[in-house]
Amino acid sequence: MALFIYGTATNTGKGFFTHQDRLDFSLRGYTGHDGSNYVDVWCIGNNEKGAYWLAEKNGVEKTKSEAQTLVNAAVTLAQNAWDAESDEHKAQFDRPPAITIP
Amino acid sequence: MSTYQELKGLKVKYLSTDTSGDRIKEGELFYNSTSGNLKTFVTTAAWHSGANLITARSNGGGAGTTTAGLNIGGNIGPSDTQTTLTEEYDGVNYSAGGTLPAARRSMASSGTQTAAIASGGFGPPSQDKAESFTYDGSSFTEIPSLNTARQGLDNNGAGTTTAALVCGGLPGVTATEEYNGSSWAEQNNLNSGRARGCNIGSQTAALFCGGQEPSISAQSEEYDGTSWTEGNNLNTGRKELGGAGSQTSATVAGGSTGSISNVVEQYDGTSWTTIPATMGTTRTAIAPTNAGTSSSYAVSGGNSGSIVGNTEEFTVSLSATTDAAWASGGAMNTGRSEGMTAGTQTASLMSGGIVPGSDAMTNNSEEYNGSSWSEGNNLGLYRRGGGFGTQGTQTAGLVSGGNGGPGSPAAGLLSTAEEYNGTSWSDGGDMPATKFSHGACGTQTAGLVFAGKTGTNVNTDTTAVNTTFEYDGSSWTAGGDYGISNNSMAGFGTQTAGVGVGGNSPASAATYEYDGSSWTAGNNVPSTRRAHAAFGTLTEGAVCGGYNPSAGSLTQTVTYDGTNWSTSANLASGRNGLGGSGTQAAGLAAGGHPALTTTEELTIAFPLKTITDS
Repeated sequence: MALFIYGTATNTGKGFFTHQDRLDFSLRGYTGHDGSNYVDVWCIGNNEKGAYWLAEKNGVEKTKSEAQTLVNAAVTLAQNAWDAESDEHKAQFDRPPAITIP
Repeated sequence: MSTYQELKGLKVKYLSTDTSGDRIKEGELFYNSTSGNLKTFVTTAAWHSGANLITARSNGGGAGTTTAGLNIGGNIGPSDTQTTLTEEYDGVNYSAGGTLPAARRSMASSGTQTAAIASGGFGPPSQDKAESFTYDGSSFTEIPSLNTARQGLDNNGAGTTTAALVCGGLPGVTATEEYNGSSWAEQNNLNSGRARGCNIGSQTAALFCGGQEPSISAQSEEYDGTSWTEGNNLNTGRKELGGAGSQTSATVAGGSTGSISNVVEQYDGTSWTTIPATMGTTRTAIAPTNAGTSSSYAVSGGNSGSIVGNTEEFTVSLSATTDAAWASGGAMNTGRSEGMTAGTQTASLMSGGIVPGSDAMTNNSEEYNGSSWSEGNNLGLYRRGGGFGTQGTQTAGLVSGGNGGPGSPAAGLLSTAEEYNGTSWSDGGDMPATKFSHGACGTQTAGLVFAGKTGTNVNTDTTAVNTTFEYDGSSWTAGGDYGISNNSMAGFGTQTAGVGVGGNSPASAATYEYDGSSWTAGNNVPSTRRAHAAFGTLTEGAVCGGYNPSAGSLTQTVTYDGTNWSTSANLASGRNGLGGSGTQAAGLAAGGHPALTTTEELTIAFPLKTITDS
C-alpha cells in the first residue's frame, strides 16, 4: 500500500486542518501551480481518516506524478523569478531549490 | 501519634483548571473541579521519524547522539557489499562524513560524532578483521588492532576513544578487550560468548545484552571494569538490536528474534521491561547513536526484509511528541515574509515584511484574534527584518531597526524603533546604530536586540555585528556582546533571560543565553537554520521552520527547556522567513517566503490521564 495519498485542496485557513487531524494522519503541504493559478498540494497519510479529510475538503486526488508536476511548476516559477532578480538580491537570498515530494 | 496521612489519607489538590508550567509533576494527583475528574500527568515514550540515510545500509556502526550521530560503514547490498561510507546526522539531515580506510560492516563502534572508535568486523576479502580506527569528525585514523580478530561485532562496542570496550563476536567469542587510547588489553571473558548483541555504557560500567551464541540469546551481563556478572535476561531474546543509555538506565530496540522485531525494552539496573512504544519499522542490524541516553537516542538503517535507510528517534518526555500538533490558522490579509511579530497565539501582531515584487516591502500591520486577521494601522516606515523573535504584545508591540524607509523598495538600514499601542504606531527611541536581520525578544518596555547587520545600504554596505542593545521603553543602551557576529538568528525570552539561536552567515546552530548582562553558549539546536520563528521563554521556548542550506525550508519544530533541545511536531508546510509568537504550549507561525498568507497554530498538550473507577 502506498504511504501517501496526493491531492489538491485550497487551504481555507482556520479549521482547514485541526490538531486532531495532525495526530490522525501525516500531512505535508506544498505550493503548486496548475499553469494558471497557484494551488495547495497535499501529501496525506494513507489511512481512512486521511482519505476522508481530503474528501471533506473538496480535494481533488492526484497521482504522485501529477502532484510532483504541480510542485515542480511552482518551483520553476520561483526559480525564474529569482533568476530575473538583481545580483544584490541574489546575494541575499538563495535560489529556490527543487522539491521532491515523499 | 497518628499522622495526618493515616487519619485523612493523601492530600489531593483541588483545582479549577489543570496544572501547567513548572507545577506539572509526573504522578501528582489533582482534582479538576470544572471537569469533575481526578487527574495526573504521565510520562510518554515515543518514536518518531528522522531523516533518511543518503545511502541505505544494514550492519553499520552507530555512535554519537540524536543531534550529532554517526553511521559508519555497513552493508549496502544487494548481496553483502561492504562500504567505506560514513554519514553524519545533525537531527535533521545526513551529510557525508569521512570514509573508512577499508570497507567494513558489523564493527564495534562507540563514542561521539567527533571522537568515535570502530573496531573489528567483517570486510573483503571475506574475513574477520582486527583493525581499529578512530574518527575525529572529518577523517579516520588507524590505531592499534584488536588482539583477537573477529566479526559479528554489531553494536558490541561501548565507551570512548580513550576508554573503549569490545566484547564477544562470531563464533561465540567470549574475549573482552579494553582500549586506553594507545593499546588494547585482554580482560576477563564474557560468561556467555555472543555476537551481535548490544553493548551499552562505559568501560567501567557496561551492559551487554542479547546476541547469538549462535542461537539467539536473551542473556544480559554487567561489566564493572574487571569482570562480567550475569543479570536478568531480556524479555525477548534477539540479536542485532540497538540501544543506548547506561548500566542502570538503558533502552534497546529492534533486532531479530528469528523474525524481525520492533520491540523496545528498558533496563533499570535490575530488570528489563517491555514498553508499548515500539519502533515504526521492524528492523534488525540497526545502528544506534549509542552515546545517547535511555530517553533520547536514534537508530538508522538496518534490514527490514530489505536494506532500509530510514531513521527513527526515541524520546521520553512529559510533553509527549505525539501530543503536540500544528493546526491551520486564519490566513493573513497580506502575505509576507520577514515581518515582525508580537503577542500570543490568540492575540498576535504582525507588521512589515517582504511582499511580492522585486525587493518590495510593506508597512502593513495586522492583528490576529485566534481565528482571523484584521487590519491594524500601518507602521510609520516600510520595513522588514526589524527583529526576528517576539517583541512585546498585541497592545504593546515593538519593532526595532530593519531594512526600510519611507517608501518601497528601500535600501536603507534603520536605527529607529516603533511602538504599537493596540491601535497605532508611534516613534520609539533610536538605537545607537542601525541594525537589520537581528535577533529580538522581550517587551516594549524591556526589549532586547542582538547581532544582525549594521551599515547604511542593504545592498552595498553591511557588516555583521555582535552588539546587543537593551530598551527601557524610551532609550537604548548597550548590553553584553552576543556570542558571534552573525545575522538571521531568532530570539525568545526576556531582556534578563533571553535566548538567541541559529544564524545565516556563517550557517549556525548555536544557542546563546542572556542574563541581563552577558551571553553564554548553550547547547546547539539540531542542525543549522536561519529565518526561523522563535517564541516562548528561556525554559519553555520553541523554534519552528526556517531554512537549512541542505534541507531547504524546514517543517521542524524544536523546544528548549533552558538546557536541551527536543524535537516536537512538524509544521504542515516547510516555511522560512516566517513570524512566530505565543508560548511553547500555544504558539503561532505566520507567513514566510514567498509572501505566504497561511498561518499554523501549535498546541503542545501535556499528556493528562483521567482516572476512572470503572
